[in-house]
Amino acid sequence: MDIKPIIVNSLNDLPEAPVSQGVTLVKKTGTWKNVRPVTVSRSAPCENACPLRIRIPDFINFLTTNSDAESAALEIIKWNPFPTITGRLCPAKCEVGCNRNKYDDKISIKELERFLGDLYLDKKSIDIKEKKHERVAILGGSVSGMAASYILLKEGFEVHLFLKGNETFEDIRGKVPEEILGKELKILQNAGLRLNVNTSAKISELQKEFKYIFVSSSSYPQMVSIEDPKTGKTNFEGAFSSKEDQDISRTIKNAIGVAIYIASKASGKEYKDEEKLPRVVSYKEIIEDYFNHENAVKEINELEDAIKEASRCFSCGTCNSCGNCYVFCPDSAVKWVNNLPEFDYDYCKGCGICVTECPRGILELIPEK
Amino acid sequence: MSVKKVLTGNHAVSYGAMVSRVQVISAYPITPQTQVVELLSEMVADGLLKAIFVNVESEHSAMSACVSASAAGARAFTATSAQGLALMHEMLHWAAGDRLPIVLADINRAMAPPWTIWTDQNDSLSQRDTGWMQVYVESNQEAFDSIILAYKVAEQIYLPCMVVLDAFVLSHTSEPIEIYDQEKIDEFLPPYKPMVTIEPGKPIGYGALAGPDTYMEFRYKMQKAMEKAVSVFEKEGKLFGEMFGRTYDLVEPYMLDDAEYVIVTVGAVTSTARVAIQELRKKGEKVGLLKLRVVRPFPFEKLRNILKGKKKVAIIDRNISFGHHGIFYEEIKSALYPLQDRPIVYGYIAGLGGRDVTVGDIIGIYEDMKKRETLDEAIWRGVKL
Repeated sequence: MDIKPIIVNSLNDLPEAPVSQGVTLVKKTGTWKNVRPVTVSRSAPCENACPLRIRIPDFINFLTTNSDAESAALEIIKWNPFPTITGRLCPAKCEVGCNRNKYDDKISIKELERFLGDLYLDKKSIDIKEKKHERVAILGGSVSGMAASYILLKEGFEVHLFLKGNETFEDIRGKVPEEILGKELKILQNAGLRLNVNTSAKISELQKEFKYIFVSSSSYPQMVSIEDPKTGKTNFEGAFSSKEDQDISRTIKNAIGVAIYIASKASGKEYKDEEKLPRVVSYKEIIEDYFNHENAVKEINELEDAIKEASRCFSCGTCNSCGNCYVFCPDSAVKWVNNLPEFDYDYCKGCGICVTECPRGILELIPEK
Repeated sequence: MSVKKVLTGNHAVSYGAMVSRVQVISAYPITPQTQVVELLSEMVADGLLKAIFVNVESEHSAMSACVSASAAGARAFTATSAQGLALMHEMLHWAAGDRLPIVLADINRAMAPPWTIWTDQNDSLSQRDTGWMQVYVESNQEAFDSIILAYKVAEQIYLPCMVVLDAFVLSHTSEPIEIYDQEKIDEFLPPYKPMVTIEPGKPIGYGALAGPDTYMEFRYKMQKAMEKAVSVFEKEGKLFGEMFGRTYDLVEPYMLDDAEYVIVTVGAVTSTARVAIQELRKKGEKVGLLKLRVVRPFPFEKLRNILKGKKKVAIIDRNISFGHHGIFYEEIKSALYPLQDRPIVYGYIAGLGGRDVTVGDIIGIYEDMKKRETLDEAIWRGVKL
């Protein structure tokens, strides 16, 4: 039907019976509003607490919306190269912050991460961005050295790993199954990691061959001293090192940060500090009415368990396409585009029902200019 | 070939709906109407009538179903009485406002409380201003004929029509009825052609919003349709007479040519009045009877032409507008006002809640009118003072 106004000048312009001649869309009722709903960027307490800043609601949404474990695992790996390791050893600060603690019981995020990491391990590979000519030496096979290797391989460097003995992941041996550590190493080797065992490498010698050197501070505690923890610069030109921590996620995060600094220095790009996450969604912004009490799944062995546990997630600050805004809008002014809400401000009157009914605090009313 | 059947008023209405080939019937039972739709449901079940019978939980829903069916292009029918008609009230406005030619048989039953099931006209007259046409019948044959005629007129002017008959006096009393040949009825009443065709994939809103800039025009069109209905009733009533031998007009004069005094009746009381007039005529009284058949549209011109120059007119109202007077009295009196030689008009309230109005009562009304000199109004006849 044409969206054009019906002008009535005489009786003849009207039908005999009161049937619609056009559509009421000609009346842009959106002009009545003095506030408008907008989608705002918010973060969940879990992702805020995670040193690696894993977008936890995002990976969980892959499970809940499509039962897609592969995409969920890839979403984790985007932020954390070793979910198999953190899923076992990290102190899970994400779970401490989880808003669901205030409702019944936290989401088993760490167990989900472990399950997904293990599940995807056989398919996992490093997607190399662009081959570079620079060679990098990694001294020491601790988790920080392995994480730095992972990032630098991904960035396209020729990475040489020098070990004192013949063991990689030396600082976590015995804490993670051997089979898994073996597979993680294999993945790095498949991406081109060159392993040098039983070496007694010295920085001064390596400097001749390698423009960049990364020193694992637990493997070689006295070798360098870190002058700038952010960039990992040390007292040696071209040598970098990252701080290691009780929290293994923090250790990995620091190593990744330094590796990215090396990569940006090598390509002449400006190194950018990580952006801060937006404001955290507090528990009082979650609308409890939309959730049932469900016991947490503490041990996850099957995809079914993972989906069940994922479905408990409030998805704080992340739209999981629940559609409440779309369903409740009394003016059909919320459109559903690519499974996400979009506001038609021509007809939105700013009533705010969408904001009130969003269970996860993603929508906000802002004043009209 | 036509056949004769002995039928109650209720069953005459059922047959009227059947021969009109109604397609959707939706109704809720209420005494004294129930038999109308009871027989129709049997006709549908027996395959005599190809229609959908929609059972509903209330009269409001019955009329809602009829509104939807009619809007979708079906010939729709329902029947009710008193409280049931009152419960339909909102949807009666929808039917008329949407210009849907639904036919409803109202078996006149007085309004409760006090609880009652017997006849008077207050139920149908409470719906006077909903935009429905109203036909009041005198006999079971007229009830049967009027259903067919109601569809014929309604489907030309696109307004719904109520056929009204008295509880028990007609509804439960048997009379011989002539059922005409179906082929001839089909010829007289062709299939319903809706004004607006609803098609899947072409959405339109029925009864859509009309703002202050258009609402009044729709009301004006309804009024014009009502005015046009006067001539359509006359034309179709004549054609009905040519085809079936019974001619109907909006009013029916009886022994009026030389009459100086006139009694006006509406509904079954007319038959009683005919006897009273005959007796009075035997005594040499110059009195006649005017039967008002169609009260919406109101036949102003016909009434004026018949009643001008008469000495006195007595109107028998089987209804009362509390705080005012008998409704037909008020309407006829006001219709006569523009006449230079208008008669004196008296209104008699009689027969409320099914109280009998006898030949003696009507003769009494005549004698009262004849000798009355003051302009009294709302004269209660037969009340136990």
